[in-house]
Amino acid sequence: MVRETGERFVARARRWALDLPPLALLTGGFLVVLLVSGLFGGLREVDTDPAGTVTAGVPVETEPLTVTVKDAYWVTAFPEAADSPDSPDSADSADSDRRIYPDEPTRGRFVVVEATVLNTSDETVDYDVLREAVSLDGAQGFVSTRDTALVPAAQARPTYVYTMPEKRIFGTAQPGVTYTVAYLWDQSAAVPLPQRLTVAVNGHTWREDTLDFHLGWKDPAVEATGPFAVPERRAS
Amino acid sequence: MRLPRPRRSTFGVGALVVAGLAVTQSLDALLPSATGADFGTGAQRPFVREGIVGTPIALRTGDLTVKAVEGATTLEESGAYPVTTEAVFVVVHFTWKPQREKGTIAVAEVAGGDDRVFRATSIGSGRDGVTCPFPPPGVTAECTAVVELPRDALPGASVTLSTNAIDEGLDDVARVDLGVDAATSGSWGRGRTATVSSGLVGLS
Amino acid sequence: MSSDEAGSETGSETGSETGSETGRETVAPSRRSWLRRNRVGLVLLPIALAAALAGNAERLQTLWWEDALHAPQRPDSAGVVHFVDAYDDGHHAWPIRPALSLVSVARVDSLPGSDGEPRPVTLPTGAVLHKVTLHVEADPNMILTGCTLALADEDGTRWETGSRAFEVDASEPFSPCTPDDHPGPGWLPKDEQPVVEADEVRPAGYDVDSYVVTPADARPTEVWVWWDEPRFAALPITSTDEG
Repeated sequence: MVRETGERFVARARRWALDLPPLALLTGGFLVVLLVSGLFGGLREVDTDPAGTVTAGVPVETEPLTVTVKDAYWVTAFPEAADSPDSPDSADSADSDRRIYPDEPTRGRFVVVEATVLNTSDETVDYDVLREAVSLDGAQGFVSTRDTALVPAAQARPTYVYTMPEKRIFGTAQPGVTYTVAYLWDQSAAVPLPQRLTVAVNGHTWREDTLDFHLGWKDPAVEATGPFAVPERRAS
Repeated sequence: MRLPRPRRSTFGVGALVVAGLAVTQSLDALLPSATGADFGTGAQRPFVREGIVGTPIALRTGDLTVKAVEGATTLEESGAYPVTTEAVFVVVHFTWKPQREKGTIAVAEVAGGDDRVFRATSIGSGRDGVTCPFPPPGVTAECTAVVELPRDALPGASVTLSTNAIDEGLDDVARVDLGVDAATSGSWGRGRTATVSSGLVGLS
Repeated sequence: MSSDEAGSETGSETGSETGSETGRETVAPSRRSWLRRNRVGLVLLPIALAAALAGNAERLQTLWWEDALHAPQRPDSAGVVHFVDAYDDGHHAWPIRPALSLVSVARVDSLPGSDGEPRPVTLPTGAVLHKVTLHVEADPNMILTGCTLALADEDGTRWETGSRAFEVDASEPFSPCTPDDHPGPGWLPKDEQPVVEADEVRPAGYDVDSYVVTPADARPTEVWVWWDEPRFAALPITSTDEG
């Protein structure tokens, strides 16, 4: 009984489909492909290259930056030196003006990644891209710029990115210039750091914005990852 | 097969189409190529006022005079830790006097001799950028623009200064040649220290 | 009216058919028949043009009219501008309706310090300092914070307060329209109503000073006061003011 109705239904559906004009069939097929592919992120080609490896001192070439991670550690103030460099005339007001004042983390700990960054493109790269070039993974308790709650490392953006040793904001990277920089993430000291933390280098794609049609570096994607021991560093 | 004989109005329509194309073409030539949807490019490009060091350049919203262009590998700024570079800092000292409304110079952009573009704005406090106050109309400000770039971009490079950091399109910008050629680019500014300063003329 | 339209439509249709038929034999339809055929279109064309322009006019409103000072409000015979504007964000609307008049514009070389004693100012080369005194009368419950004052010359060049174009061992008045200690009510989008601190209640009428830097050769003719562009109060400077 059930089987009979099923067969009749299939037969009727087949007749209905065969009676459809070819244009309707094409449109229907297109819609099905569109809807199904949409569920999995669309038909655009996906970069399936395996992520490379981040090793201290080895350059990772991505677009538009070449990033060489040098070191990773954590501090309770950055830079860790509590006093300005001692010099005979350090009491001089002009000289004390030149102190680099340390930043204090809001939750007790800064995770710091030191790196060099080279812009290999033909145009100046701005802060948003520079800030996304290095990220962390494999730890908890990071301060987010968006949420008040703590977030896992993979969702945290660096609180500060500085050029070193002068500690200016790394707001622009000019083409062909190599910068020595420090990425700082604000982490809660109440959350333990694991033995090793994953440091990732992210690349970007040069494309037109779908809303305002301006060209820019977009879609940060992990290009390489590597485990780094993150010891505490104290003022020497 | 016989072609239909064109009507007189067909010629009229044809002439109108050709005239329309001609007008569009000449507008396109006047307001150069319309490629690129970015601010300040293509048909929205700024009006470039070429100038030389020491002579005022009249812009729509004020007068700009480039006093000196120098190269340096160390930057000093009062109250700040000095900055050094393995590349070179292009340092432009200039004065700015707005007209009609208060205003400032917000962007310095070096077009390298090799088609690379090096842009620095007044926003932020990075290694390079523009420092310039917002004087009232008729009052002169002293300003400094710094752009860090690799030496191989120096030969044939020029610097452009503009008043709007977001969109300099369809407005005046001032351009001055750096005056560096292939022979001098290797030594230009090497080992020199430049001072970054800004303020209104007559105030400390 | 509707029967007329229907009539003309049918007329133009038949006209066009005749026109194209004759067009194949003669070289072109006569001018008269072209005009007749396109009668409706020709009448509608200017209307369509006007509608298209009106449809685009919101850009004039947002990108030009509201982007600069375009709507001056001038004083009555007593020298008072009964200014009319409003803060309006689509949810809240607070009136801005003070009565503004100019007390004086005078060149000065000092600002009062915190103890009231004059403190000398250092000015940029070739610049002078003007003290503008404004008289304001307004309901103490009205929000008057956030205004700007400028001296303007005949060409529309304007020199604003808060220029930070001088050095002095004193603080510049906070607002050119409200007394520093008694600014009256303020409002933030989270509030339902304007909020005023008990010790900041504004008097109903008061004088307020502000300071403007201009080049020495500037010839300001008016004092402009505004909250939101494009409306502003234009108060003429009488020649005796700058004595």
